[in-house]
Amino acid sequence: MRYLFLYILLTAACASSFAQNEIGLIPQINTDFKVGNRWKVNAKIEGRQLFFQNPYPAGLNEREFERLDLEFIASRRLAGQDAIGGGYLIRRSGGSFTHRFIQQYSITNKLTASRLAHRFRTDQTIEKDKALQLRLRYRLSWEKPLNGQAVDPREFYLKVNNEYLGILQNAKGNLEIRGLASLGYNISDKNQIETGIDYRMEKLADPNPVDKLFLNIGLYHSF
Amino acid sequence: MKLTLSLLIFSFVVTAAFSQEKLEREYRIRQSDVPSIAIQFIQGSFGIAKIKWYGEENLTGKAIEAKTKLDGMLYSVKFDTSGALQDVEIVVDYNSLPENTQAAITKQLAAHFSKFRIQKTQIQWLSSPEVLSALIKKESVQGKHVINYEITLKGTKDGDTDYHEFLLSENGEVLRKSKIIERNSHNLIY
Repeated sequence: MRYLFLYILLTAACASSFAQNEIGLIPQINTDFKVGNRWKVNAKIEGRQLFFQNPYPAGLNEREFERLDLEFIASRRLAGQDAIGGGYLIRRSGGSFTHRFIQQYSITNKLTASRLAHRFRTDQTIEKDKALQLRLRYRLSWEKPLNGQAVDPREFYLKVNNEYLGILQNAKGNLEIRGLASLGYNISDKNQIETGIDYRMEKLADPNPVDKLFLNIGLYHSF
Repeated sequence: MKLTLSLLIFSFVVTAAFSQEKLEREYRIRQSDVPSIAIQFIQGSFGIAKIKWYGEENLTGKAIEAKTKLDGMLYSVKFDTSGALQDVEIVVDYNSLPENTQAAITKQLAAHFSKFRIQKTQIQWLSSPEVLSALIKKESVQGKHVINYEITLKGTKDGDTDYHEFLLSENGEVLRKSKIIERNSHNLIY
């Protein structure tokens, strides 16, 4: 725990020492609806509150409620919990709307005392006065119970994920890397609460990459 | 927007309060909470191997399980809450089973599923504590013991692919079978 705290402090210090950076909070409510035996719809509402940004838009405060996302993904179960799906995200940010179309394939594997999930995703983003943005994403997530060999009700767990995003816009490619380490509590098999540190390195192909550090808080519920 | 968020949070909390919970549960316990008879069996059979103790609760009651590694093999030893020995299980490679046992199990599973893939194989030993201790220590065994096989697999039946657990005898007879209900993985995917 001491090392985790030290790591968080160091990461925060690194993020704030770069030329371009943001520090903020990402709250999320995520729900899952079962539709028949094979289909599910995942609905997510997620906000982003910035507490610090450098540089920040002229005339604006560096503290800003930057965006609010509403996302729906319909997925069809293939085998076990492997699934293929597609969906739509609408984002309210800076007084305008952004639309994103999403396709994904996910694989979940049970290990002896943990779970591993792979998510392959493509998306297309349409935003006013900007060229179409295409992204190819891969995310690896790992969940480890902190008590026993499986996450049972009223038990804590650790969740770590790492995501790589290839981005194409205006015929120019870029790269983004994300890492998340969070602590979760399994209230019941239908409800979880998680909080953790989400670190993102954006525009890695540019001369001045952007570093972002967020505190994530997520509520998950299955209907 | 504030009202929408408040409603969402409120509905989450209300639904969480009425949710049903899974009855199977496994959790780490301290060695000091384990009956001494169980500790003595483990120490006598495994020597100084590092032991992890777990409590188990399911529909049939409570149990205590010791997990440890010996000679690179993962052992699970199950006791009831009074410390009476129930069984010993060892994780093995399916291909290491005797050929006739493999053939009998494969034939049985092929009758249940159009397609299947074995994920985990465990040998289950049932006998008296003396015999089981001798088996663990690879000593000559004085007395009979029963060998069963616990197989976890991903199987397809009528177009549906799910995880299942089978307990089979050496002859491939099904002693117990159950579909594994997996916990939702949406917190890993989204």
